[in-house]
Amino acid sequence: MKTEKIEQGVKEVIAQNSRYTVEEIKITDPIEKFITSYMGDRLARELKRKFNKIDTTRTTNELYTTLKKVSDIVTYINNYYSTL
Amino acid sequence: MKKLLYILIFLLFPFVSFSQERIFSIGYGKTYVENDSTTVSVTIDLNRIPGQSEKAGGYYFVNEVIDSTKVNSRWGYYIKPTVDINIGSSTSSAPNNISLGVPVGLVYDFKETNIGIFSFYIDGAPELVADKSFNNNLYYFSINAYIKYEINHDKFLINLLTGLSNANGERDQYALTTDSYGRFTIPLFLKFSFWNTIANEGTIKEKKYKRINWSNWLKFNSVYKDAININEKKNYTFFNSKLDFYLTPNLGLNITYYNGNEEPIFKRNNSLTFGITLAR
Repeated sequence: MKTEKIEQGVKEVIAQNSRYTVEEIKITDPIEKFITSYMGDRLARELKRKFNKIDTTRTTNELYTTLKKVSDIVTYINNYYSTL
Repeated sequence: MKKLLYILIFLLFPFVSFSQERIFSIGYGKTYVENDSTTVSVTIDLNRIPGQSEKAGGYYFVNEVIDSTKVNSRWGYYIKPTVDINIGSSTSSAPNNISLGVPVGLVYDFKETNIGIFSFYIDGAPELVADKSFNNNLYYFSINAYIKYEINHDKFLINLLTGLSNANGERDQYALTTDSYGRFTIPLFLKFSFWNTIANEGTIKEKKYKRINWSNWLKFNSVYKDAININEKKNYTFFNSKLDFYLTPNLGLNITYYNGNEEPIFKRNNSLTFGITLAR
């Protein structure tokens, strides 16, 4: 899967779980602008529904620790699709 | 047994501590009941935050989607460790409890609505709630169902959690016989966050950190089985309100107010504590 497609998919998932539209979501924005850590477990599950190759549990825990920006999620998912 | 519990807490600690928003709070307080008017309290919140919510976020052993290949698969399942330690220098300054739990459950993610996002959780958890000396312990299995809600606005955030919990198990008291224990609980958690109230214009869009958090936790407990020496009545309410002012993303000042009776010993608690919050 190409990075552009992953980026678009990530924006779509965030848009479907916040009151923002895909166009309003910038790659450099912090994730908490759209969905907070309170719903981090949900965000991980929603990402899994879109990107079947990712590990949901690991993604959940990464969302609390290392993934802070929209671009971090894109890079993280890209690693699954480029190495597997 | 006591030694085992200490080891268990120690082992669970690193699993959950790195993922917490608020790692711990240390405070100096004043109580309005009993004789001890000044107190020191320490709260360590690991996946289970009084004044926040144990159901909110945190570290998971397992968080998976059921049949993720199906387009409309909205169900998931999870296993999550929780630890909560609230210790005060006096009986009435804090709930004075140490809790451990491992909820195993199912979750349903509702599609986004115009008023925010909802998820429904149902889980079962073996739990231990002990007083700070481990002389009075509750061991039970709880069944919990609750709804989690969030609306994340430009200027504010609201998180809400409510549901129903039932616990059945035993009360173990030092040098006394073991008694059956059972309760129903309706928890209500409401958190407001406000940002940009003090922030400079440049930081408004990024919400670099939340400047003010106000969390409220109200519990209605109905105890239908317990040791006679602990419970004189059946119904208890417990209210906890916490206001955090963040000076930097990791350091804040807090004001915490407790009122009511809480597990394990249901001793009357009415206190106001001022403290320092360390957060991630």
